[in-house]
Amino acid sequence: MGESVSVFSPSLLSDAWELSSSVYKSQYVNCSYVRSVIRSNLVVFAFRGSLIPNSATKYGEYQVKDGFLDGVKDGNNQRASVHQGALSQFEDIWSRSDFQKQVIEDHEKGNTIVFTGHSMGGGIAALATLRMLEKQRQPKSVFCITFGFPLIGDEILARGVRRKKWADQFCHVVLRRDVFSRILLAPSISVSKPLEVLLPYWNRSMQSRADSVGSTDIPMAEAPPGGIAEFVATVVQHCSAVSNYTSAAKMSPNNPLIAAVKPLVKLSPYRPFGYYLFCSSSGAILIENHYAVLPILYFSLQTLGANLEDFILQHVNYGYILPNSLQNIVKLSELSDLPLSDAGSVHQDSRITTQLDALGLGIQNCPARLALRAAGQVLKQQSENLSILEKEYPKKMETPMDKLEEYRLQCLRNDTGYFDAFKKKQRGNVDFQANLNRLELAGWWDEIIQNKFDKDELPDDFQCKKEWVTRGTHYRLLVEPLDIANYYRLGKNEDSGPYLTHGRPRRYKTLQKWLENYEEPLQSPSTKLIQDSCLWADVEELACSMQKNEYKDEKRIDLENRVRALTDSHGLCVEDLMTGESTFKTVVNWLWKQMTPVDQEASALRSIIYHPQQTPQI
Amino acid sequence: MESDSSTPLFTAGQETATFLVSCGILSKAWEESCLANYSQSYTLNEYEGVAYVAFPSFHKIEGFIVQESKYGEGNIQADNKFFSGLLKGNDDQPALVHQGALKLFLYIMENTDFQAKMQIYTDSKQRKLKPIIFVGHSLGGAVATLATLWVLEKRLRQSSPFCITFGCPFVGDVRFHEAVACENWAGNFCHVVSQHDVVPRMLFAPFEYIAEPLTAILPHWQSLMVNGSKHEPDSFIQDACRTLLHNVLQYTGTVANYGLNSPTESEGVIKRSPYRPFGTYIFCSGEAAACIDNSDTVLKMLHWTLLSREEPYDNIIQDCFLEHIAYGSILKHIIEKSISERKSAKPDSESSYKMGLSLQLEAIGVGAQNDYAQIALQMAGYMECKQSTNVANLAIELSEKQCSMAELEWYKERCEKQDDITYYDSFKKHDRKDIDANLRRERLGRFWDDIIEMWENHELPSDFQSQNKWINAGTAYRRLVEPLDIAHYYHMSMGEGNYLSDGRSIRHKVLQKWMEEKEKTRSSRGQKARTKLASLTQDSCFWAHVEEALKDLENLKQQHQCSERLEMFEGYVTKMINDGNISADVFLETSSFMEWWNKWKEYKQNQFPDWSSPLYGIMENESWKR
Repeated sequence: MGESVSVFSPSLLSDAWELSSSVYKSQYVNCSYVRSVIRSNLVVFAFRGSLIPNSATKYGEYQVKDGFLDGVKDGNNQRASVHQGALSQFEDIWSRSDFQKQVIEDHEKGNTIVFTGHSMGGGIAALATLRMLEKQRQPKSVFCITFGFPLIGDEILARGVRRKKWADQFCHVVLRRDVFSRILLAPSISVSKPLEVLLPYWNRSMQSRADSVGSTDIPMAEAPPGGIAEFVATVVQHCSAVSNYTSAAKMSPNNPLIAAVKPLVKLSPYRPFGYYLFCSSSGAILIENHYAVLPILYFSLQTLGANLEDFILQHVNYGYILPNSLQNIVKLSELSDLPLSDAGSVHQDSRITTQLDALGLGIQNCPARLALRAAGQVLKQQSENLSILEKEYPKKMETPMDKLEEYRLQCLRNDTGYFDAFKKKQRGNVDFQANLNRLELAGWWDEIIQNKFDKDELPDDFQCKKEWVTRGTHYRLLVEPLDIANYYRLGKNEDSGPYLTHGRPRRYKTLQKWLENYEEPLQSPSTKLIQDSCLWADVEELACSMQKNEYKDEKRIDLENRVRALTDSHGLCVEDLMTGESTFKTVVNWLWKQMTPVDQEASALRSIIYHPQQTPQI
Repeated sequence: MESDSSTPLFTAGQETATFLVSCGILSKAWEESCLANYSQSYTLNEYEGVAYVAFPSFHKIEGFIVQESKYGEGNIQADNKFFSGLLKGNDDQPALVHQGALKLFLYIMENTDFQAKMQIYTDSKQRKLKPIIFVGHSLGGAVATLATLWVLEKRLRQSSPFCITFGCPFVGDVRFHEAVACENWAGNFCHVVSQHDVVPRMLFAPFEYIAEPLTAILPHWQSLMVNGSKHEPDSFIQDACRTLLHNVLQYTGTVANYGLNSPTESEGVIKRSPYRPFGTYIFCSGEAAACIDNSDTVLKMLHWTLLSREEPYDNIIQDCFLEHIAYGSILKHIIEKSISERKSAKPDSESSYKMGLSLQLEAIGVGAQNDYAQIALQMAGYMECKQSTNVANLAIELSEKQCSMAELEWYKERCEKQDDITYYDSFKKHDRKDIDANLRRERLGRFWDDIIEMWENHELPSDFQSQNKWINAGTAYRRLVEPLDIAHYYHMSMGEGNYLSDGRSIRHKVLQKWMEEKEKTRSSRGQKARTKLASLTQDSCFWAHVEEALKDLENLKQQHQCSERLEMFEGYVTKMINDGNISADVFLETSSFMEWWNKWKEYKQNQFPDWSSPLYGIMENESWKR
């Protein structure tokens, strides 16, 4: 199945497994990782880790601090959380200079690097991969393959991975009944007792198998500990809670009951990121749709007709099962049309039907099928919404944007900046038309941001798409000054407070954040605009102070800082600021008179006042 | 392409219920309800940062049996000040609740430290508050419902209370349901009902038919719950159960088949139960559970779930007795099913929605073959989907209408700045230059008329009229455009007729009512006095008052009437100016208002040469300019 798995070929997966299991050998007992050059230009690092009990938080989660995953934050600048045990083990290894040096050296030589690991070692491998990904700029050269990986990162991390398009660099191999790969969905305390016995058991099993590789006498398999029924039930129940919660929220996004219950129950924060390969003894299914992973983790773990010991044994049985299952990998896409009935299954690829049945996701498990369909529908809807926007943009938005550009130029020809023209008391037809264009654009962007973007109805990487960041930035830089003008023209600052703290529409805040998080340079628009859309708000606040004759140094310094930042980045458009009797000119002249000569000498405003295009005003 | 945009793609009833059961919140709530049975009034325990407040199941049983009305219903404000007058139906009549439940709640409010203990969870001055869940089983569930409503009415910004009941009898009537829906509080109530439990259905029947068997059974349940004794009900109890079920079934069928508001109902023949379900019901069967939140559908399901089995009647009698106190094991069983796997009937449809409905019907024990039940669920889903599609479309239209609003604002501005005339007086002349404004006025009027019509036909979500977005948009529209409607009216009627009594359109009345209702729920604290005059006169009927005052003044001069109404008008204007609720255009020299003022001043001064009044002071000094 070469076509389905591009980088993660069956042979690479087997190699990764071999190295991952070899770290359990007694000879490596004091090493936490093993390095191996599989082929030329391909270096694999395998980690060994363990699940460290942690009771500081309900699920052992921990919010990462500065220096790691800095670029991964949510809309409120919240940082991602990861499992603390995994993080501390990773940091331990990373801070050992020989490891870090080795990785960086291998990487700089142009090698492709694969981090891999079994069990919690997979968690460490995932963190190592993230660490390298946030540093690297060149095309994809760092990958991660895990076996029996417990989810270790929260929604913020998962979203960050999708936005940055890293998802295809992770492949998590999970056996149908490997209970460990779901264990962090249950609260630490609910499984801590049985794990005291199970963790050493799993470790012993892996070690004895690793040590026996190559020798002829196969070790006696140790029987798994007893009393596991309740443990398994606990894990499945918590999988059910998380999976049904996410399914219900997708199927009925505005359900008030779900919204009300959410803050009352603390579900596991961990969410899947990257691709998943779900394996049974007869084959494997590759899942790229992250929404489908939680339902599969739950429904394939359901216990009906299963041998309870399997749930424990499968965590250490990858070596037995993988050789078969990797022979037969199928990719599951188009989940929104997954058949529900026998009649529908006729048209399905029979290999997919077989694999779904082998994972307990056959048509008799109707709730599972519906959950997978819902997962598919979300992605389908997102891309449909995007293509609608792509189609609408030129039709609806380009004309008003062009008209506002023209309005700006026309104002300049009439010897006034468009900010002051728009603000003046006696407005003419031209200003009024500009106002209509402003309203039209505001309605459209509000619709995109509040009704689509905020509700997750657009693809995750929408805010990272170059053309949309460009469009949003152009809109913000051109039109926000008009919103500011309107705000102060109507005296809303008296009713509500300053624009920046009390009046700035959310569309502008969001659009600004998109630009700040965008990492590549944008193509510059045809006209040069002031690159800080909020400059006018500071100017207006100073104009208010001027009217009351309340000079304050801090406010002046705020403005100077803004101007300096703009000058340094060549983001200033002097004609917008200084044409005619502009508010900016009046305010700056007033400030200039209040300043001491020393202040004047150092002031960022100096370069504007003495700008070559302008005759000095004082 | 999509088959029909009004057919939902999915239904989440089964997933939501499985989530609620698996996440443990229901089991925890049940545990707390059981513990409360050892208390005399209520219990309060914190668990994982959430306060669980539980009420005993069968406390003060004698208080629950009330005989005053046919179904035990009465005004929610009876004998207490804990509930506000805002709890009323769409017809403005007060909500009714079961008086027995109300008495039990009032007992706890007035005779225990409950209110004092709730203080720290409901102190609006705190930055953060711990969330509360009120829980209760049986009659305790009814008390929990009222306690939740009591806290919801505090409208805390920090958190809102949640309510979980088990086997709870009906509490409120249709107006109660409407009040909860209008406030968007339905999501805060979660009622767990087992397939055969008789208690949630018993108030379908008039109280006289259930009071006697109930008095016999309640103490028996109480002893089973508290002592955990397992002994079989004796023949006396069994007979009471048989009577109770028999009497209840007589009524559930009628309601399920005809609904409570069926037009066939003729007054006097039989007064049907006034009670209505509200919030989300979680129906549990031996197989699974599913959530249903449409009130009508819940009503029907309460009947169909009870009668679904083709089993001996005696078994149902036994179950309707036993299931009422078996919620612990019912929940446990559903969890076990979700851990192993649910067996479902062989699927025969490729529609996610249809399959979801079948799963729900199986989960609640009705069975996917029940066509009536399937249709009822479909209708509810269709309605809900239609409502949200409608509101989404209206939102897009509303933003397009902003341009018409801006045109009218600009029209107003041009009238004032270029022609020194108020837009009201200008529009009244119906000159050529006002034609555009008239088109916009008509267009906006049609837009809002359509909204009001959809709302009256229940085609919009039930909390539509309390959503800030629509109230603000409606108020902005009314203040800007109603003056033009008034001008149009007086232009067309040539001075005959009174706009206020005969000419005002329903849309303006409704929009004003929505705004006023919302303002009652807002605390008055945050409002500061205006420093400047409003940009639009706050009372959109101001100009109609002016027109009437002008007519009154003419009549007064001809001695047809006394000056009382004119004095009142003067007082009304004075207050508006003092509050800053009037806009400055009113004082333009040519305005109708100034015309009235000059005539009134002249009249008054003719009568009393040294006449003065607060308004006189304001107008002479032009102190309205501030």
